[in-house]
Amino acid sequence: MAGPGTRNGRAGQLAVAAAVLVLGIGMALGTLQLPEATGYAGVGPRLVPAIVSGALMLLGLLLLKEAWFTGFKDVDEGAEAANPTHWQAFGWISGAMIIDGILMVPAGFVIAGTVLFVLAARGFGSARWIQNAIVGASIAALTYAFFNYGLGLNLPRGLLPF
Amino acid sequence: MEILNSLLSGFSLALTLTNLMWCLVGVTLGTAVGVLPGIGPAVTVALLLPVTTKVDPSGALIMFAGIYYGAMYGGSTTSILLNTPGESATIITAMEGNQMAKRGRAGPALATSAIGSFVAGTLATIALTFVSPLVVDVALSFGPPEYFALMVLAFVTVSAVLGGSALRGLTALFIGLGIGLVGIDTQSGTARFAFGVPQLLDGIEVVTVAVGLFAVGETLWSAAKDYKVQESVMQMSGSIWMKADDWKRSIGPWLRGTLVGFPFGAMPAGGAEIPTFISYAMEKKLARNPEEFGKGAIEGVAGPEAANNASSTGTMTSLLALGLPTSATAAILLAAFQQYGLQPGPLLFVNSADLVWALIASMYIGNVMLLVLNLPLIGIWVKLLKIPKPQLYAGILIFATLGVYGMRQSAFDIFLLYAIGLLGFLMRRYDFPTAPVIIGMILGPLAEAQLRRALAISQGDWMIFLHKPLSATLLAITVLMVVGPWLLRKLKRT
Repeated sequence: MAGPGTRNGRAGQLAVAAAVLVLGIGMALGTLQLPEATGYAGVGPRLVPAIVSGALMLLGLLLLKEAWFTGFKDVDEGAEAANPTHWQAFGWISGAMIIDGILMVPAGFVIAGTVLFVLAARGFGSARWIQNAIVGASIAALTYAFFNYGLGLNLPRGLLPF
Repeated sequence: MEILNSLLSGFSLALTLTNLMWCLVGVTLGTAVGVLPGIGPAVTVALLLPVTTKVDPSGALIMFAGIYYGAMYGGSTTSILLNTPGESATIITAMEGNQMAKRGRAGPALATSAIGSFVAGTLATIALTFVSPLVVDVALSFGPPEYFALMVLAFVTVSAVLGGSALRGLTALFIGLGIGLVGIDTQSGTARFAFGVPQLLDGIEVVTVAVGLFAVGETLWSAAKDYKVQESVMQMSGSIWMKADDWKRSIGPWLRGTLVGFPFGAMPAGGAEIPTFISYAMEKKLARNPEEFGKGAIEGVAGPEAANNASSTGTMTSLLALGLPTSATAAILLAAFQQYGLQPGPLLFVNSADLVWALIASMYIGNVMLLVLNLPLIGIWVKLLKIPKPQLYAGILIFATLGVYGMRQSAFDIFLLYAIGLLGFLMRRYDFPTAPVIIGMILGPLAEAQLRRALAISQGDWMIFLHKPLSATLLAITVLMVVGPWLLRKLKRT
């Protein structure tokens, strides 16, 4: 059953396989910049990166071949097409994480955590902003208090006075 | 006799008030994260790695081990009441146990899995107590070539043999090995794959990768893919206690499950799923009424539950005595040892005997605590299942950022966490296994050290791996495991 959905899925598989190949090539180029082995054993920091990059290039090629001819083994693109990705939810969660990273140091762990909580809950379809903000702030404040004062971890205080 | 003496002194350390408390914290947390979807023992231990800077090694490691085997108890509760396996090793329980729950037998299903987990956990800990010193005696004679060969065998079995596709498993492994290479090479001081980014010079933290792949990747997946799935928690009706007939039908499967599970976990091949499948098939064959299987046979819950618990204890044998982690959680436990400058393996039994035996003794105690937590107190855990999904996953993300930021105090790591979460999402989408990434990144640097040491001894001669009989045998087994199935397929076709 080669519907349009499965064709999209096949393109995705080819892209994933190509990414593995590119990763291998990138690592190989990085390996070449490492210093040559010194000492009489001839083993240095280059050896394992060379093996790993070589293996990734080979695996990338094999994955490309599999994706092109048969599709990944046991990956059901038909079922995937029937259950499309909800990109809006994906976007909310992604935004939540990125904003958390931006706010963490300037605004502090508790504020960043509250924003993260509210946005992520929205990604799961919960738009009760105020209740979520209260729950999120409580969780963030409790963990902040426990880890900062209980275990002596240094979490950013940010805009808050304590 | 010597073993019993060591074990007794281990108990005297494990029974101190602080260590009992750490044990209780560990098994309680373990049960909780085992019950909750979206967060598992690997993520939990990773998130708690920062406590290693404050807590003494015996306390922290007792807690971490408690999380590991405690999660096995909690996972079965979710499987039975929700029909979504909390852990991959509870797929069978999700099938058979949920059928029992649908027929109003949720109580006996929960009881047989809790008591079975206790029987298996305790018997497997006894096996661990007596087997690990033997393994240590053998392993003390290993040199770098033998160790390297053993690690290669473990790499291949966890990635190529156990999963659905050897190609994708190996890709995941090598991605993990690649991640493990980032940062300053400890032997030569050369910076590798850091691209001039100062945060990458120290390498990529295990916490970031484990939490990114498991917690963030899982959250993205759950929001973007599982939004249609409506989960309903089964009602717990009727008595939790088993009737005489349930006991009679459970005892055999518990013992046989333990017998299958422990060796599987203890072998450097690992994997807790396969023994549960074997145990299920075995019970079906031995049962008086095999037609009941698939419709809620108590044997089909008792056996696999015992098998997965025995297997996770077996994994501790391979971790402690050989320094070889064969599951994602065991790999992170290894990282916890490293935080204290300790290296699991035979020398640990020599140099830190007190610590090892206290840890083993704590596993006996922890299993008793878990029995109490999971039988009379089961109602508390059932309530955890009622936390609504949006708030559950949003809360998990707060903990994720806490652990990752707390490790190095750098906001860069939060962006890295998100990037690895994307990788986790993609891997889930195209069905790449994630455990090999974690095992590769943690075991990789150790394997590299052994490889370079071996080649330094042989002055660069690769034949050293074939001249040593043991390493040659191990490598031959490895090759067979990869080529064997492929060869069999070819032969069948012609």
